[in-house]
Amino acid sequence: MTPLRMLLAALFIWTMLAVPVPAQTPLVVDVIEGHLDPTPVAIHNFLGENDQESQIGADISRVIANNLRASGLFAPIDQDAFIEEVVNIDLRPRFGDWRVINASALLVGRVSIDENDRLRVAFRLWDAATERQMHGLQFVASLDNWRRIAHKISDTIYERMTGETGYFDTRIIYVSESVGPNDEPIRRLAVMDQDGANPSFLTDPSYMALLPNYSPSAQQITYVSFRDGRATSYLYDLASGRQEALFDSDPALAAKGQSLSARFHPNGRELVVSAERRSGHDLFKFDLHTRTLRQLTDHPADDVEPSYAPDGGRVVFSSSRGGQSQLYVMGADGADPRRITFGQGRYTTPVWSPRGDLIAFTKQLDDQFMLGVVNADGSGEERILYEGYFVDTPTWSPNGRVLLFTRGDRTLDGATYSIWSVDLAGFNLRRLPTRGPASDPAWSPLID
Amino acid sequence: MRQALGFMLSLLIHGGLVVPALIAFPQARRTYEDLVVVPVELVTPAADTNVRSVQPEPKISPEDLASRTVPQPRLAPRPKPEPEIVSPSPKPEPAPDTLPDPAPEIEPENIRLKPEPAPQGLDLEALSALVDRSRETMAPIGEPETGETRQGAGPGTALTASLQAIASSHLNQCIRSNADAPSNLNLRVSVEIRLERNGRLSAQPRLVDQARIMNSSNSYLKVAGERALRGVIECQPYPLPPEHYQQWRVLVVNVDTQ
Amino acid sequence: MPGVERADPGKTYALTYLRAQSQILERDDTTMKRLSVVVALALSALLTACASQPEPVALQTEPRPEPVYQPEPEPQPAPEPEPEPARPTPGSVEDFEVNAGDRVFFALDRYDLSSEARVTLRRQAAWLASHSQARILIAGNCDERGTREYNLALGARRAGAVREFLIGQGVDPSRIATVSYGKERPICRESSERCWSINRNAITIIQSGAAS
Repeated sequence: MTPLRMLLAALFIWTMLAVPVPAQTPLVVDVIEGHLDPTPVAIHNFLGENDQESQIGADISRVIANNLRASGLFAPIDQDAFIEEVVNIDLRPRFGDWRVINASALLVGRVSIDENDRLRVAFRLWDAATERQMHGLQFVASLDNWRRIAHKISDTIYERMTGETGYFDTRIIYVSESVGPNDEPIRRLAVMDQDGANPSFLTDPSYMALLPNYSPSAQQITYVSFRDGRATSYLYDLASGRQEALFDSDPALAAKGQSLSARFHPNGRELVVSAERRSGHDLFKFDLHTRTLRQLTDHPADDVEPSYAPDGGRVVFSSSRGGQSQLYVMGADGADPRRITFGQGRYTTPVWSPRGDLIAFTKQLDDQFMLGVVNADGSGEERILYEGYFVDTPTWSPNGRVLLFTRGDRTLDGATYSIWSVDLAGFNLRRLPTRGPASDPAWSPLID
Repeated sequence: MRQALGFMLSLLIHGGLVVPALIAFPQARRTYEDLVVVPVELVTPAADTNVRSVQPEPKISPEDLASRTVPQPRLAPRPKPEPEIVSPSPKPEPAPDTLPDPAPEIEPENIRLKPEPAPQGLDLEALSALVDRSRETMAPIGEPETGETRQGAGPGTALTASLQAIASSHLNQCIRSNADAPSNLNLRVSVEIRLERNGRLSAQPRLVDQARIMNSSNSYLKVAGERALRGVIECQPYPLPPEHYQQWRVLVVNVDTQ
Repeated sequence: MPGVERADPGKTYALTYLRAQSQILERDDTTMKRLSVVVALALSALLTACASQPEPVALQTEPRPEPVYQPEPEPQPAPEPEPEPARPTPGSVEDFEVNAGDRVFFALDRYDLSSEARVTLRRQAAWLASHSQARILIAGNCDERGTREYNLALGARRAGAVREFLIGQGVDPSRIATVSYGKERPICRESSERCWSINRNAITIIQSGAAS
């Protein structure tokens, strides 16, 4: 064959073969598992035009990286591995440089401080694979709120990449524990950012403060105060600092004994609380508007630790009415209590998940304590997320994906307490950074 | 021989596409990205920074303990909010922090960020359209390349099954599972991908029913679509047997990882 | 020194409590066990008698082989061994602590009174009868093996059980206040059963009206 013929032949074949190509049947592949590895994200230091801005930019990037890492869903990439140095966030990044270091997403940002000392933080979140911008947003705030901006950006990224609302712009109230000079217990309420930053005390050491809970607006808390000498359920307005004992509205009832930890109805206008009467502890509803109490349960056994469902229609509580402490669900008006746990051991501290489908609890069995979740209707198997020497006071992240809890570890000098987080799958167990022993965490709703 | 020729031809046509792209690219690098509007979100001072802090840090310092024995001094400032920390307004109302006003804020910003008219920005749509065209052009050229191995592409469901298994297990390592999304949602998505013989994508992957998924009010579905797209890109190169290239040139990946 | 003296009786009591318990356990046999369950149930009925409902309280549904609450004829030597050094002033707080005994102990997760606790409480009642100005605070305490709110409730039950018993012994209810400290005020800090058993108590504190 001459080359020309060959060429012609080739062209012929090419023409012939070109026809069936569009009709080619694709290979159909089903992917039903996927992986659950943390998503690698590159978080570039936010840019600034002077030292102050650059410093804040680096700090914001650090806080965001820390948040995302702690969630267990993201793996921030070490900045030393970065190839491209971003100098302008309004330019398209060199995506190849970011894919090479396995970044699935890239976060760049810019910090500027205007003449009024307002902080302006813009950011862009890029999908390094599809090379699309996933999000671009700007926040403006006062200078001292740079951390909150970092948390809000973290929430935005989390939400954009998981479909869930985030939980980084939140605070945690807890009990800071210590022992006074005369061996007396010191229990003070303290509050800090979700990542442990900005800790400060809410109560002074002259009385024990225990078991705090947030209102849905995060403006108020309830807690158990010993300022009157015994456990008393208090409402504490954070903005004004005003405190009041719930049962002051009913002196006759108050005289009958202690009152314990109150929890808010999702509407923010009612509370459910356990209080002692001559015959043990019963549950009461407290109306914040009318300042009146209504008794919900009346049983010789102790009914304690009530918690509302997120729809407000039901209450879960623990009770020893069946012998050992177990969990019960009843209508918010006290109707039709039904036991939902039947396992071995002592079940306590039920807390309804913000999603509504699960109830977290602690359980004591054979000298071990467990943190678990169970379907709110009692169906199915319970899931144990953590097991150890001691577990208490679970509290849900606002999106219902993470639990904080008090963990006690055995020491020669009695148990020492610290606050830990674990996700719903039982993974990503982490200790919250608190100064000294801490317990009774209560996670705020998302602020704003 | 024919192969060599096909290769040359392919090179020529590929080159005709790639070279301009290469020339265009650095240019594109320099252009501004068409900016998604950057809404201004106002951050009000922390709701609970209003709360007066008795002390900056929850730690029991010696002085703290000392104050225990002397009941007076420390207790005094307790119940009142500290004035300095209090924001202009006691509550986190957007008002005082609403800075001047959002409108003038956004505008100048946006204008500044707007792409300069001169160089045509590297528009993804345009790019993918370009790639699409290249795909069309390339397809016929690729064909002769695989001529010899076509016989292997015949019937053979066993072969299909094993290719599916290879691709599936490979993709399982790249696509993030949606197992953590609420279980009552249907998050099934499909991606169509076109591959080169070397296992790399020959075109941008295409999400089937993209408009519905990406504009869905269901944030989990949107994320599922993006995870699938990201996964098929990050999964390159695909370790599929070149001798059966014809069988896996086009993959439809159905992702349902709940 | 008062601090030390305060701590001592606790230890003594704990020891006597444990001793008493082991004696009982040695005598344990099945008939005794059954008998004890019956007695325990009867006691629980008594304890909850003030509850308005006659509902069965299943507190004792799972009988544990531990304390057998037999109304035995108190053969044990008074838990207070020999107070040879300077005798406390009669009617003083110290007198109460040493000669009546200021605390009683409870079994794990229980608030019913052991026979030994009753002996102590009868002495407390007698002391209070002869010192009618004295007012008391009964503090219920728990070991660290329970959640916080649960323990606050359990401690209240323990204080309440002591209160009811003292009232039954003729002490005027207006002289008695109760409080639960849950697990917040352990006497003994170690994480061991030795300490836990000491920390499961109700302590009677003379608040006023004692001789100095």
